Parts: sequence; C-alpha cells; structure tokens
Amino acid sequence: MDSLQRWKTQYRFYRTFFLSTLKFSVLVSFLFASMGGITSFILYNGSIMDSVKLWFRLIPTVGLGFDYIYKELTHKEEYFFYYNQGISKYQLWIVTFIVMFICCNLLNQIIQLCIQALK
Amino acid sequence: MHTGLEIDSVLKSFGERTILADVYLKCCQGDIIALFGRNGTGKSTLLNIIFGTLKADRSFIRIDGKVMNGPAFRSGLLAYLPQHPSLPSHLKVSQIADLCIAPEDRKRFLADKILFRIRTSRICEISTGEQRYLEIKTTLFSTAPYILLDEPFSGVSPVVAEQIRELMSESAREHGIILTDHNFREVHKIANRLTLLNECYLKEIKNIEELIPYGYYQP
Repeated sequence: MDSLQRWKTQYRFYRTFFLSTLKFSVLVSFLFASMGGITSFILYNGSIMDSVKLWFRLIPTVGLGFDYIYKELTHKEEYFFYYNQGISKYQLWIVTFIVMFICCNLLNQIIQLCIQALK
Repeated sequence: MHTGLEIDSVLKSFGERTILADVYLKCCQGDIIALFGRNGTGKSTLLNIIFGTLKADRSFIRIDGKVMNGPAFRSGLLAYLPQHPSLPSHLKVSQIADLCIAPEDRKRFLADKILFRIRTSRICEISTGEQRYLEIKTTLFSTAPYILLDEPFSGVSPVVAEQIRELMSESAREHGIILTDHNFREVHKIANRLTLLNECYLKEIKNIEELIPYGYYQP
C-alpha cells in the first residue's frame, strides 16, 4: 500500500516536470523546424507537412536537449524539489523523453491519418 | 521503526585538500543537531554527502537499519533543504502544497498568515524571504523521518525566524533534524545537540563554552 501511495505521489512529480519542459522544447523545436522547412522549401520544393513531421521529431530530441541545457544553466537547484521525493535527475529526463517521444509520434501519426483521410 | 540515521567514516577531498575525515554522526527522532563551522569547513558538503547528491571518497550511511548503497535520497527517508532556492518558479504555492503535503496536513500547512496570503501566487512572484519560509515549511512537513536543513535562517526576518524555530520544535517530535547555519544565536536557541566541524573533523560540543576558542561566543 505504501509503495502504491509513493508511486502515485511520484507520478504527480513526473507530470509536473514533464509539463515544465513542454513550453521550451516545443518552442525551440518549432524554430528549428521552421528553419528546416524554409530551407527545404527553397532548395527541394518541400511541403509544410514535411516541416510538421520534422517538428514532431525535433520536440523530444533537439527541443528536450536544449531544455536540459537551459535547466542545467539556470534552474539546477530545482532538481532538489524532485530529489526530496526520491526521484533522480536521470529518472526525470528518461521518463520525460519516453513520454514525449510516444506523444509526439502518436500525434504525428494521427495528423498523417487525418491528411490521408481528407485526401 | 526509526532506529536512527548513522553516518560513519566519511572521507572527502577536493584535489589535494581534505575537507572531511572520519566523520561520524548519529541522528535520532527528536534530535535537532546543529552543525557549526566556518566557511569552507565542509558543512554543506557533509549534508550533500548524507543526502546522496555528492559522492564521498568513502562513506557509510545507514538509515533505520538499512545500509544505503546508492544515493540516500532515493530511499525517501531523507528530506533536504538546500542553501539556494529550489522550488520550481512556475508553480503556485497551493500547487506546491498539493504536491508535497499529505492531504490531511494541507489545511494546517496553509493556515498561517504568510502562506495563506500568498497561496494563489507563483513562486517567481513572491519575495525571497517568503520563498525561503515556504521551502522550510514544506521540508519540515515532509513524511521522511530525517530532515537536513542547510542555512534555514538565511534571508529571513527575526519574526519569521521565530516561526521557523517553532515549526522545527514541532517537527522534531516526529523527525530527526540536522541543520547548519551561520546565525548560531538562532540555531543555539533550538538545537538540543551541538557539533563543530573544524579541520576536517566533527566534534560533539558538550558545553557551549567549548565554542569560545572558535570565535562563536565572547566569554
């Protein structure tokens, strides 16, 4: 029962951390995807959908990577908030990456399916 | 069953300089242990080693009979208040309470003048003193049986320091507390055991006059 309670508490902390990474990583990856989109449009006549696909790939990789560096440089002490719940820094980032990767891929697939259906 | 937090044989060096050597400390429920020492004597280093956020060259940590092989914070038996603000700045005070405080204690946690007034504010919107008070109270309300406080009185007004002392004595009924602070007059009022880190070694102070040669008290 105790471990179930602890897991429930930890889940809320993982969720809080995940949400704290969203804004920065989505924004950074959007900037990179836009640059990539513009470049591919000029050079290879690429479509907007290619940029969207690229954006979803960049959120859990480049976006999250930049957020990691940003947090390391400016909010390093905030990890103690999670340490006090028994959650390590690596656990936080691994769980966040997995959840973000799955969410982005799912969202990407849903959008692709919608486009296919509309065609 | 809480048998105590034991730290033994702690050795830590930074390059050629040894900071801690053969440190032994035992903290039981009801203890409020003050850790004194000048700047750079290794007080925060020792707390970080106990908590598990800094690796010692050699250390032995046992909490309630369990030997800690990895970082001790992973066990959930320790709560730590770091020297610098550590609450996520995007969260509201009420959200911190929802996350960190047990449901049965939440009302009591927010039922004081300071926290009630700022309960809807974000951490980035409140003053440093209010942040510090919130952090200390959150740590003292922790379910972990042992609490480590690194400079809890820094940046707080004398009135708030008084409130913190009351919270600490209340918390010590269920917890063991180890704290370090340069404001030794505040710490001295609350601590029931005094220790001094000097030249790498931790010494238990039995009589307050033992601190005079180290510049803490004027005879």
